[in-house]
Amino acid sequence: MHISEPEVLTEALYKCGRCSYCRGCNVETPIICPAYELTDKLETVSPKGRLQVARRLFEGSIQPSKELSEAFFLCPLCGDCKDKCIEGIDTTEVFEAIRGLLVEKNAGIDIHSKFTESVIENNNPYFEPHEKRLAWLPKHLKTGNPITPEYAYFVGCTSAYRRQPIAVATTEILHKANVKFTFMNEVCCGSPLLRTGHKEIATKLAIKNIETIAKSGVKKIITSCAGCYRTLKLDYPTLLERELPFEIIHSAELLAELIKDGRLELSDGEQMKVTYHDPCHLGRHAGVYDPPRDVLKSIPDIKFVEMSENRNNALCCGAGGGFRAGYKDLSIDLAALRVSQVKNLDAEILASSCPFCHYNLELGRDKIDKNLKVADITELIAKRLL
Amino acid sequence: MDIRSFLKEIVGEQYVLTEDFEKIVYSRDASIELPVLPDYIVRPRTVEEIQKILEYLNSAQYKLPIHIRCSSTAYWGGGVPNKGGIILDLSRMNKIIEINEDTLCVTVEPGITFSELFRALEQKGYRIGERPESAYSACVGGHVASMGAGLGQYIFGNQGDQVTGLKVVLPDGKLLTTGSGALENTPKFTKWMFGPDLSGLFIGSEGVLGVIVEVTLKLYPLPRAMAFATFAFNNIEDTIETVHQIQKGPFSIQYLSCFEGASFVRTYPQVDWGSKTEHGIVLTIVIEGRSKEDATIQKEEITQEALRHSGEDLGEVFARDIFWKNRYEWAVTRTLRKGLRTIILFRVPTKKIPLFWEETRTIGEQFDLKIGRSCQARSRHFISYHPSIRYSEKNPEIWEKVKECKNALYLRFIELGGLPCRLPGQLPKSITHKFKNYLLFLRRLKTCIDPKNIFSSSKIVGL
Repeated sequence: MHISEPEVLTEALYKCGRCSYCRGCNVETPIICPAYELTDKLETVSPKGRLQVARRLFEGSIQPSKELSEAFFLCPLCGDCKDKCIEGIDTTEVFEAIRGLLVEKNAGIDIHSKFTESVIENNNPYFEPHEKRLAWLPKHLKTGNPITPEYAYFVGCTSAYRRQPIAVATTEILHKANVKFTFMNEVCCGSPLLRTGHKEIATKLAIKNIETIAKSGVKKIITSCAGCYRTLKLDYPTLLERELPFEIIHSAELLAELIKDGRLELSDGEQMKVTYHDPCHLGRHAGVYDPPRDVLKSIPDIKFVEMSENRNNALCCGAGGGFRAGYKDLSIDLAALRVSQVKNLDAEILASSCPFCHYNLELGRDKIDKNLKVADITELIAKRLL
Repeated sequence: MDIRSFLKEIVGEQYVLTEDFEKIVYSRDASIELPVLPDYIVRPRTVEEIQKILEYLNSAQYKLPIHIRCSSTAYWGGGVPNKGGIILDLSRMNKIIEINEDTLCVTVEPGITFSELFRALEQKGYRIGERPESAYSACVGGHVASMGAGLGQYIFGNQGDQVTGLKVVLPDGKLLTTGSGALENTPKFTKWMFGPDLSGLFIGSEGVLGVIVEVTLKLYPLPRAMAFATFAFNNIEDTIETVHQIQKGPFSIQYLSCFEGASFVRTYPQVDWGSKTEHGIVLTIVIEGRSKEDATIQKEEITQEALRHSGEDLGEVFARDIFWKNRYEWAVTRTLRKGLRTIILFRVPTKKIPLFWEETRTIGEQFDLKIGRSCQARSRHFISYHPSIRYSEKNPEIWEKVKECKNALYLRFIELGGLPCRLPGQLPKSITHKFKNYLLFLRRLKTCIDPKNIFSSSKIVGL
């Protein structure tokens, strides 16, 4: 049973023992709850605080208000609190369910409603025309293999409209490795809607995408976006209550496999130090930690260095969970905080494997360290293709 | 100007909380106690802001008690306001003021968590002497104000023993510095000044005498060597006899605990628990040494003592790889205490532990409740005994029954000669008359320091 079922949600809400491990810091992680940190340790936005309010809200003993909604939406749903919860409460699922409850009661956040409207109208949250979804695709990369494609590349809205170099780099790599792939008439995966309490519309998008994939006949979907990956792989089966007839692969996983199999040859290049930011949706949510690191370590002349806050202890970049849309300044502050953690490493590049992280980390970088380059792992590989 | 406007003017609008949902969040700690809603939550950043608030409340016509809160991670209700009033949330005051490598002391604001402090100190090769098991989230100020105890206490003493000075805002808004730092140019290296120990007035005062706004603690070097041991015993008597021999010996014990073995077997199936654990007691020990050789010698002596009392040597794996490796994650208790539990804390003369152990089982049977039993040697002179009872907030009947059982344990343990680390609200006269002069003196002290009773006082019995 899913967390949105009343009895499952109730069970989770009554489990919290208010130990506060979800919002503190530990010796490995200076910040566990970014929202708590960014609001000067305000208990009401801490996971523990939100769980107490959620319980009362769910019981009906308090009513939603604008201020109360803020406590729930001022959170990037990074999942670090879930990772640290002694009781194993799936806090991200609980908070998504409560957001749904608030939206039902017209207590959502305006900007989230607006991008939801855009998804309904344009199939993307960026108010961009759907027909331009593949406008980034250079002529020389258009072919693919339409006859017997093994894979479909699910580009995702952010790579399609805001971070096109990642889509180009991914496509170049697929061509170079002779991967038989195609593009589809995809629509938004629904991640921004699921995270912000608009589950019904997200379910419709899931049905639409699954139908499209079924028609294409492919059995493997590649995505270069951590948000799309989490949504397709983890949320779709839950939303539709069935196993999917296709496999979801993140570009980092595919790249690691292609390199391991010798299907990608990489050239020598400038010597540099690179570190890696784990996107929450790929790392903590889906457990993909090693493939992107394997990819980076395989690039000639690149020295991979690890941030001390890595893997399940990585600090969120602030882009996800509707946080960037709802609280832009705080979201950039959080990205800047994450970029500041690179400082002692002397790294030239902060790599990641999510266009949305890329987007926000660049904004954070611009605030504190103009010299640090932010790059997607696909971009780093594409530059070294022989 | 009304109180709300005044508070907002002092600390800033966003730092005064009055919404119902905000009051709910600040109405509880980790205890079994029912929530009590405050009227206002105020989140000051500076000492001056606290002084202004207290000056105002002193001059105000009406009475609005102040309740001080840091992390509110305790299990006994100290973070729950007794009746409305103002919660003064000190979590924004969370900076390290000074690491003094000359006097080997660290001065911090009260809202810093132990984890934050450890991170900074470990980089310089230092540690503080004692820390609570909830170090992840507990704050230094709250721990001092509640005279906390925890790991490291066996060697260094409790948190109160670590204090070399405090800064306290008194009920009238005046700032008092205790210890050597009271002399402006003198560093804060000792709590002993002229006359009695004024720091001691506020250590364990539970926030009823003043607001601790700065704490200076002793620093120690990180340990040079550690040794780890785990033993299983058939019964609590043999276990405690071993513990008592250890207490009599020249050992540096960082941590020593006794838990019922069955829970360990269930929780850590990957460990070889030998033949006695399932129905017996597990003794886990972490030893500090001046060198590897010193730690090994201590461990060997302790092992001989355990074997002499029919202990089974389970090796070092559990103590080292599970307990110590995850020591900041509350490694053992976090898994054994899964689910809501209320914990009772008593200090008990070591030899009396078997009696308390048995009495706990009897009272548990009377209430038809399973009570988990564990204890730690946090001193050479006594044992901290921590029975815990699982409950559910979904089931009010169980909730109420557990509270009644807890009270029964309190009364019985006092009768048996135990010392409660915390006491909830009211005690029957049959108990209080046993230390009436002590209580009378406490009341006089409270009246003298806080004549208008500005700081909510129900957290200490008799006040």
